Amino acid sequence: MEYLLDGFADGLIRVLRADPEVMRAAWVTVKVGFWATILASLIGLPVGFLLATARFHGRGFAITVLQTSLGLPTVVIGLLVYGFISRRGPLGFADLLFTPSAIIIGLVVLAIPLVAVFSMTSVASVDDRVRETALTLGASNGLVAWTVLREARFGMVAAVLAAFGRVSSEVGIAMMLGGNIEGYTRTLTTAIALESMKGEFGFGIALGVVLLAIIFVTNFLSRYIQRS
Amino acid sequence: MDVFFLENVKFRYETDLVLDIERMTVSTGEVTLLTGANGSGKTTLLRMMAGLLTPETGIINYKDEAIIFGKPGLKHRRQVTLLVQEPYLFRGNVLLNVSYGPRARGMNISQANKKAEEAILKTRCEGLIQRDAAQLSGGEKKRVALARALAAGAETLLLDEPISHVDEENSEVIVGIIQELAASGITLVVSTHIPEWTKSLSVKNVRLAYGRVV
Amino acid sequence: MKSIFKSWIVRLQSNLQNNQEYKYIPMTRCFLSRLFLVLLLVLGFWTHSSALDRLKVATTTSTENSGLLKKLHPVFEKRHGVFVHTISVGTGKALRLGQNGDVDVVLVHARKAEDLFVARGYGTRRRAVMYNDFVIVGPASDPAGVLKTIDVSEAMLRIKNQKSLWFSRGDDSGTHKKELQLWKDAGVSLFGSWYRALGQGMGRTLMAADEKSGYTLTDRGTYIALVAKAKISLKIQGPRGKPLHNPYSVIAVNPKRHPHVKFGLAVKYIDFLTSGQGQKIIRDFRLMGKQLFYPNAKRTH
Repeated sequence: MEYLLDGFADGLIRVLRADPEVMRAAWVTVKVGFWATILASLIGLPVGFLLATARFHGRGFAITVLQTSLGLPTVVIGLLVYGFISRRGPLGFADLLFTPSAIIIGLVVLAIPLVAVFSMTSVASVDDRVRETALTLGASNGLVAWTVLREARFGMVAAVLAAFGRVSSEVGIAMMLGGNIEGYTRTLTTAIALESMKGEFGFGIALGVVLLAIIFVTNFLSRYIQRS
Repeated sequence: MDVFFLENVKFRYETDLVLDIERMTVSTGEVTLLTGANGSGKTTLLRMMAGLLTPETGIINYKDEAIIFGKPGLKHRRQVTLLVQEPYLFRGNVLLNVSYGPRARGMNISQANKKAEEAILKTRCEGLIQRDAAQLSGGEKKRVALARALAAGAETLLLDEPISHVDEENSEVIVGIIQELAASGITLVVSTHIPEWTKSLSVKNVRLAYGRVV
Repeated sequence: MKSIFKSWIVRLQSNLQNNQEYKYIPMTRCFLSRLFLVLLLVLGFWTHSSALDRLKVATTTSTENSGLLKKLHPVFEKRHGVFVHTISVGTGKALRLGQNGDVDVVLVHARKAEDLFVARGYGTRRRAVMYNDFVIVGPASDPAGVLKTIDVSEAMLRIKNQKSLWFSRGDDSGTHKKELQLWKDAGVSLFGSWYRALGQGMGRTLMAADEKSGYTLTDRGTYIALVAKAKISLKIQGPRGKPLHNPYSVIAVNPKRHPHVKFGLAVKYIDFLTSGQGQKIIRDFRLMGKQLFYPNAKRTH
C-alpha cells in the first residue's frame, strides 16, 4: 500500500506541474471524447426520440437490439472497427487506423446505444399532456417534437454526459484503434494501462484523477448550459 | 355555419359506454355550455373535439371536414384550442408558456411577446410574467394556461371545467374573461358541473348524463 | 447562420445586463446559445495535426518503455520532416500489423517469427539493429543457488530441481517465448506447482516474483527501471551470454504486398537505425546509468 501512495504522490506532482506528456494525453482524451460524444448524440438522440414516440414495425426488436448492444465488450467493438478500417478492410484506403479518427469511430459505435436508450427513456417519461398541449396550441409536427424534446432535456443532457463519461474512460477501443501513440492517440486511459503495465501503479492513479477532473469539469459546464 | 357537427358518436372506456351522442352541433360565435355530473362524458367529448381522442364510431366534423384524431390537421390545431382541467405548463417561465401559441404560428419573437403580453394583461398575470411555471399554485397555473390559450388566438376555445379547483380570486378573473370572450363573438364550448356562475351568459345549454344529451 | 449566431450573442449579453427588468429570451435559444459558446470554446482549441507525413512503426511494448526510441525518433523526424508514430504492442501483434499493411515498418525481437514474416513476403530489407539481453533474477538469498552457474540450462535445472518458485509471463510475448525455449534447451518439459504462469506484462511479473521471492526471466531494461525506482529487490542471479541475447531486427513492410506503405520512408528509417549515427545513439543510451542496448548492425542475416 505504501508504494502505491508514494507513486501516487509522485504522480500527482508530475500532473500538477503540467507534465507535457500528461497534458497531451489529457488533451487527446478531451478531443476524442468530445467528438465521439457529439457524433454519437447526433445519431443516438434522434434514434432514442423516434423509438420513444413513433410506433412502427420492428420497434420492439430494435429496442432489444439496442439494449443488448449496451453489453457489447469494448474489445469486440475495437475488433469489429479494426476489421473495417485495417488496410485489408473495406475502408482501409482511408488510412484511418492509428489515428484519433479511428478511436472516435469506435467510441461512436460504443456510445450510440447508450445515448439512444437513455434518451428513449427520458422522452418516454415526458407527460402525455406536453404533446397534447402543443398540438392544441397549434404547433406543427416539428414543433411538437421539439417541445417534447425540450421537456425531456434534462434526461437528454444526462444521456450525453453519460456517453462522455463512458467514452473518455474507455480503454480497449482507444488502445486497439488508436495504437497508443504518444502525443497523437495516447489517451489518459491508454496511458494508465501503460503505466500499470510498467508497474507504475501510483502514477496510473494520478492519471485517473486527471480523468475524473475532466469529467467533473464537463458536468460543471453542462450545468452552466442548462442553467436558464 | 356549423363549426362542429357530431353524429352517432360513441366511446367506450373498457366496457362502459361513456359517450353516446346522437347529434349535436356547435355554430360560429355560439357559447355552448356542457353541464352534467362528474363522469357524464364532458371531458371525453371535449378531447374528441380537440382531435386528441378517437371515437369508437360516429362522425365529428370540424367546419365540414372530418377531424383526424390523434394528429389533427394544422388548420384544426390552429383554430381550436383546448384548455384542459389540469393544464400542463412547459418548463420555463410564464412568458415562454404564453408566447408558445403565437410562436407556433410563425410569429417572430417580438410579435409573439406582444401577443403574449396582451393575454397576460387580460388574465392579470403580469405579476407572474418572469416566474418559473413549476413554482405556481394551482389557480395561478390555470390562469396562465388560460392566457396561453387566449394568446394562441384560436377561433374556437374548448374550456374543460375552467374554474374547478380554483380559489375564489382566481375564478373571478377567469369568469370575467369568459364573459368577455362570450361577448367578443368567439366560439366557446365550456364544460362545468357547477353551472351557477354561467347565469350571466347567454348560452346554449347541453346537458349530459351518462354520456347522452338529455 | 452568422446573423443567427450574432443575435444569440446579443440576446445573451442583454440577458446578462438586464437582470432586473424582464426581458424575454426564449429558453430554447438561450440554451442553444450557451451550448454554442461551449462548443466554440472547445473548437477553438481544436488543432488539426499538421499535414506532415507519418511513418508508422510497430514495435514491442518493452522497446518503447525503455525510452530508447525517444532518443532515436526525434533525430529522424527532424532530418526528414516527418512524424514517427510508434505503435507498441506484443511481438506477435506487431508482425501481424505489418502483415495487414497497417504499419510501414516493424522493429521487433523474435527471430523465428521474423524469418517467417520475411519468407512469406510480408517483409523486406530486414536488418539487424542491436541486441539487449535477458537475465534470470531471483531473491537475494538465492535459494536455488544459480548465481555461480555459468550455463543457462544448468541454472534453469537447478531452479526446477529445488522447486523454487518460478514466475512465467505466460502471455505469449517475446520474453515468454524465449523462456519456453530456454526450458526446452534445458530439457525440462514437465512443470509442477512451483511454476506460475501469470499472463501478465513484465512489470507485473517482476513485482509478483518480488513479493513471493521467486525467480523469473526478464529483459534487463524493465528490471533496471524497477530496481531504480525501488519497486523490487530482486537480484540478477543467473549467468550471461549468447543464449540470453535478444536481437532486434528492423523490417520494412513489403510494398509488393501493400503498395500503399511508405516504403521509401521506411527504407530511410532502416538506413538511419543502422547508420553510424543511429548506432551511436543506441550505444550511448543509458537507463539509470546503465547501457541497455548493444548495436550490431554490421551483422547480416
